[in-house]
Amino acid sequence: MKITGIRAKLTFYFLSILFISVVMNAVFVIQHTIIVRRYEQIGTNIFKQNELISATENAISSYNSYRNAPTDLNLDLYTASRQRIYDIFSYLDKSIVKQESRITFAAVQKTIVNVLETLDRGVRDIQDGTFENLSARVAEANKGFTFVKENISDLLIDEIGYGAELQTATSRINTIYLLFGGSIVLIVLAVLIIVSFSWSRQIILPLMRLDSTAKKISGGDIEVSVDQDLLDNKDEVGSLSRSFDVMIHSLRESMNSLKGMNTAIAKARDSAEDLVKVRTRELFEEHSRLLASINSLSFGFIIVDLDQKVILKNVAIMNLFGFKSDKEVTIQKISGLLGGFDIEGEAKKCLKGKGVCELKEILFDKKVLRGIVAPITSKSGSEEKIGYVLILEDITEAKVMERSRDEFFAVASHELRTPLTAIRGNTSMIMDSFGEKITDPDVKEMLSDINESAIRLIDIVNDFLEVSRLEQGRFDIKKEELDMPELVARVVRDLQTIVKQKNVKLELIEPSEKIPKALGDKGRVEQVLVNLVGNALKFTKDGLITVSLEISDQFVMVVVRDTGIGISEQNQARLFRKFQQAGESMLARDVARGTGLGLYISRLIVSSMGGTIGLLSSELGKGSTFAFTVPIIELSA
Amino acid sequence: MKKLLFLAEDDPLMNRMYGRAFKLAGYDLTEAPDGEAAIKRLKEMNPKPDIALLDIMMPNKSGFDVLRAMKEDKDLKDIPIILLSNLSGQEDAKKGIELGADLFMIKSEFSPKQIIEKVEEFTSKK
Repeated sequence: MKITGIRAKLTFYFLSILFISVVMNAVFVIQHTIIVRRYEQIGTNIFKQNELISATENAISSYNSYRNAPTDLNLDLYTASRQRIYDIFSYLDKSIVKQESRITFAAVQKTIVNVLETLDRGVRDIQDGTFENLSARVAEANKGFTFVKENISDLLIDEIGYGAELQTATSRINTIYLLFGGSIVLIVLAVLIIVSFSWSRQIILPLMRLDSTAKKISGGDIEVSVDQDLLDNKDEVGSLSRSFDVMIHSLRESMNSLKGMNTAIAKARDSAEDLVKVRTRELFEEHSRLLASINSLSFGFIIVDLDQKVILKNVAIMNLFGFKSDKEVTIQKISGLLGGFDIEGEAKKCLKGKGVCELKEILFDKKVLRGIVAPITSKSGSEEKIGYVLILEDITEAKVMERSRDEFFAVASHELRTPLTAIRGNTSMIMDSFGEKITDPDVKEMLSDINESAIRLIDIVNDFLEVSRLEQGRFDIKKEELDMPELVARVVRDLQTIVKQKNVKLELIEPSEKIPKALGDKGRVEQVLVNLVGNALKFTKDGLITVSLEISDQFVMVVVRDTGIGISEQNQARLFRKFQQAGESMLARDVARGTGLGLYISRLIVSSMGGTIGLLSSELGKGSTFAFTVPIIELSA
Repeated sequence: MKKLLFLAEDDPLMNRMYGRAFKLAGYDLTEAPDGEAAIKRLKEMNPKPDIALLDIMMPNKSGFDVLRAMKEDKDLKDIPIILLSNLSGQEDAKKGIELGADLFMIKSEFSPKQIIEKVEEFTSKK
């Protein structure tokens, strides 16, 4: 097996050292265990050999006791000693290892066996009753015993010598172990030095080479490559080198594609810059146009964001307040100039709602300003407000014009009416109080004409004023619940007195259905009805005028029909216009009294109540039908 | 006994016409040419008039001022008042009635005879 990886090599070296150490220790421990055993054995042997002497001595002495007084007890003691000797024999036979000792032991054993055989014969003599040889046997036994004692001493000396030998062997083993261990350590150290040196060659040098390659790459040289011998390396360094090589290759590819991309980006940037230039110019032009438009506005125009910061303002606002620099234009400052008018508060109020808010007229330095707040949403249709446009318009001139017109009408009304009132009042008084004194019918008629002219002039002035008020919307239209049948009946009844003076009949046609309550101004509805019936009377010399009521959708319709002169188609179109009268011609106007404003006034009144007025039909010589509508009250409202 | 009528009117034309009309109708008449004089004369008058006719548009003080002054004076506050004007403003009529006038009449719309009829309505109530 060939070991290639650095880690595997390291592991192998380490395991080898560990294995050698373990084996050495094991050998050492085993040797020591054996020696200790031997020592123990020597001790036991010495003890047993001493015991053998005493046991032999016991056997001889117990035999002597038996010889002197043969009893079973003494015989037993002898037998036990004898048995003991054989036990020790069998033990020592196994435990004595040394060859010389074994020979000595065999001699001792043979002598003791002879002693015991002698004693056994002496025992048998006593048992047989033969006592003559007893002393000789004891002497023979003692002779053997002396020999035994001497030889056992040799044995003991042998054992002790053996122990000394063992001691020497132990110290020799220790020395060998020490030497061997020391050399192992030295060997390991040497191996380690060699290994690290080889590693430095195997790892550090290749790493340094890779490092220098990496430095070259970071220096911009991407054409370098890893040396072939590093790539061929089979260990981790080889693997690293190969990865590094792959990295260099992919880096090179990336760099190349990046170069391509850079070129493309540069191209795109160039064209984008051109586009931006064009767009910027267009935007600038657009912006200039917008600014010019805003600056050409005659009224003050400010765009304010939600923090009340002025984003944009026009020249008119600078002129209006006499601002010199842009910095001066703040909402707070304008509010201050307007006598503390709370623009911010009004704007905030307006931003909460929907649509544009008109501020009340603001007085500023003898000028009257009209303010408009228009919320700006983030995009059209969005609810999110991002600011507002404040428009401040100087309407002083318009106000002056309006006031002078109002004043003109007031003065005209007063100044015209006063002399007319005097004419009317005085003529009527002459006729009332001094009528009998005037006998000449011509004078009477002249007075009557003067009176009538005055009244007519007063009516004309009234109509003018009425039209002026109606056109300006300066009049109140009450919203009253109207019982139309009752109202119409009363007006018809009131008009009967006038009708009686002419050869005309005025009739009210009872409605065929129940007429619901209508909504409108009672006085104004009466005025319109009187006007329509009055017109019918004017243009009907003799005949019939009818008034009727109908329901038309959500309206109550009042219809006035006459059998008068009728209106030509050409004149029908001019009805309801200012100063129009539907006579045969303009010259025919003096046929009947009137300013030609009646229908025009009626139209203004009816439309202000939400209704309509018009000519339903007309035929020359046969009569006309006029009608107007008043809305029905919505019961839910 | 003749009824006493007070007329405040600055325009001589109107003044003469109404003066003649009321005298012909059998009234005693006290006149004033403007608002200030009217207030002064009304306070001095003894007995107080049975009815007062006040023009609205007068120099110094208007008919409304005279009306206010009368309503603040305990001796004058119960006298019936007719406001006369040739300004046909609905606002003026409304304001006059609110201040305590009994009637608002546009001069041009009524002949002297019609005005006297109204005056008689008020004075005969007493």
